[in-house]
Amino acid sequence: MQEALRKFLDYLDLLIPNVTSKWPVFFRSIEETLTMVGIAGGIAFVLGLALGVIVTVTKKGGVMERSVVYHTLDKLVNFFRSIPFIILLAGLIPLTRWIVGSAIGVRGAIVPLVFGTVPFFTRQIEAALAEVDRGVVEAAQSMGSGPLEIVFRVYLKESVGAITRGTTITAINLIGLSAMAGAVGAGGLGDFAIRYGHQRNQLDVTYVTVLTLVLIVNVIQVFGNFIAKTHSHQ
Amino acid sequence: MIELENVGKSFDTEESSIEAVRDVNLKIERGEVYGIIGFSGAGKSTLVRCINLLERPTTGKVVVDGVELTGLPERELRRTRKKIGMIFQQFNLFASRTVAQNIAYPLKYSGLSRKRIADRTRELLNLVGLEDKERAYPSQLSGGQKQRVAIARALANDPGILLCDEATSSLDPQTTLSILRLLKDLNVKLGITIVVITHEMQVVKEICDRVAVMENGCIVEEGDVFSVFADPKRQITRDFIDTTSNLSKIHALIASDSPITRLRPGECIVRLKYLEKNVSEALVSTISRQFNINANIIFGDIEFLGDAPIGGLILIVSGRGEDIDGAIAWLKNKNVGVEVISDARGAA
Ligand SMILES: Nc1ncnc2c1ncn2[C@@H]1O[C@H](COP(=O)(O)OP(=O)(O)OP(=O)(O)O)[C@@H](O)[C@H]1O
Ligand SMILES: [Mg+2]
Repeated sequence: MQEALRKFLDYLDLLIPNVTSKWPVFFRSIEETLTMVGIAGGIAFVLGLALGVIVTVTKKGGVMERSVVYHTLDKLVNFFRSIPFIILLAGLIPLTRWIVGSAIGVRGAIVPLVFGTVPFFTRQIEAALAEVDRGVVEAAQSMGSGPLEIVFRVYLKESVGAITRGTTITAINLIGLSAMAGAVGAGGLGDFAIRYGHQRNQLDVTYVTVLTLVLIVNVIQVFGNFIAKTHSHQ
Repeated sequence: MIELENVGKSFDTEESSIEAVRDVNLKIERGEVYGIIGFSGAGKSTLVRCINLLERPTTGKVVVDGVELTGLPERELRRTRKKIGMIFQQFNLFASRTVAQNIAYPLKYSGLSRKRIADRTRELLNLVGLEDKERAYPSQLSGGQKQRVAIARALANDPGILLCDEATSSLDPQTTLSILRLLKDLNVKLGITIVVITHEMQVVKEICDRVAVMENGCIVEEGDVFSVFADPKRQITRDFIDTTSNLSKIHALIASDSPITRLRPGECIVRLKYLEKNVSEALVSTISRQFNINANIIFGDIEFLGDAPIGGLILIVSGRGEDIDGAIAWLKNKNVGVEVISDARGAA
């Protein structure tokens, strides 16, 4: 058994020497990526869900029609969506410093990641909720449900599957964005690949990083599909 | 009782304003089945939606059981809505909830315990005949079953009124009939007032006590079903009758010069229409005996609206001119509508 493991490690040394020579750095990168994605994703999920719901219900014909609120949010979401993430990263430095006290490292990356993700996720939620049939909402209204009840018992409940799909896409997207967070010293897998794989031309590092990302994305996708499937009664 | 007073609803779109409902006055009595019939776009849906204020009328008042809904604050209105059930053409069930959960939806904040809710749900399932579908999801049901669930859900809070917007329009004829029977049953058993919106004459015939005919947002004719359909005043009402009656086919036959309708000199085609509920006399044999004419029934379409026959007969009568005139006068005197459709008496 141990023999087999040693043989395997020797083989890895041969196959991916530049990775095996820095396992700790590699694992820290993974941890940094997961931390960034986890925290920023968690915050973005709550904010995006709330904003997506608000946009949906305040829209013309919505259950709480408020045109000023709708148009303000709509413009804001569009505005932030049109800024490339790398610019957002730089542009938000003062704000980041003000909110979390530091603009670098994993902490410094959270704020821009949230800003980069929330608008996208808001649109995903909006699209998910738009799948809820207008007639079903009306049926709820005809049974005396108020706007809040409709949000929780109709919109959100009916679109668990669609929201899960939106969340999966957003999470995968977020992993992509987190790769750029190296620019503010947050590390992560993207930074690991650039620093060693690209700058030092250690190709095996690049490949291993890519494989790791593929693996993470797949886990998220499979998990997302599973939830979406158990909630689909179409 | 539902009273609509000068109810109007207009929709403002970018270019223009559409008056979907214009100045409608209606009184629907407690316990009756009231039909509103009209072709697509007549404003029927908009009108029923004005009753529970899913659509807020731009003018007029909606009064239900003495309470003016149009004057209620939002919270009160929501409470009142629990006592006005509504079902839809597309059923509008919650796809993510089982049948039982759909039915229990409106009971959530009713103050009932979990157990009472479960009991009530089962009771409602029994009422609509779906005891065995409790755990099914809507996607696993047929259209008729879905509508039964929708009916059960609409009845959960014991409403006094049930609004049905084209509730049978996406069902096949047989299922339509079973749903209509169920509605009539509920009307009798629970004494619930039912308002039925439809573009199908058959629906009105089957279950309605009174009917309003709607065209361009206005109610153009209204009354108990028999009088409206026995003696329609408006062309549109006649059009509806024609959709289920064969009598109008005669015009097509005459136009195509069918052998059935080809007349010999001295003959004419007349159409008899029952205008009163008490027609049980032997009309045809009486006129042929009393006036010495031949009456050949070529076409007939009589059906029963409740317990009254409606429809008529198409006859070819032959005989002496004055005898025919006499027979027609006699029929008219009996309050039978007589219309001479084609006349060859002048022909030599
Ligand atoms: N929300 C709306 N905005 C603008 N116009 C509307 C709206 N709802 C209905 N209308 C218009 O009002 C008119 C009446 O519509 P309504 O749906 O009440 O007709 P209907 O008699 O129910 O027809 P159908 O049998 O096709 O359901 C139509 O001309 C329709 O285009
Ligand atoms: Mg309609």
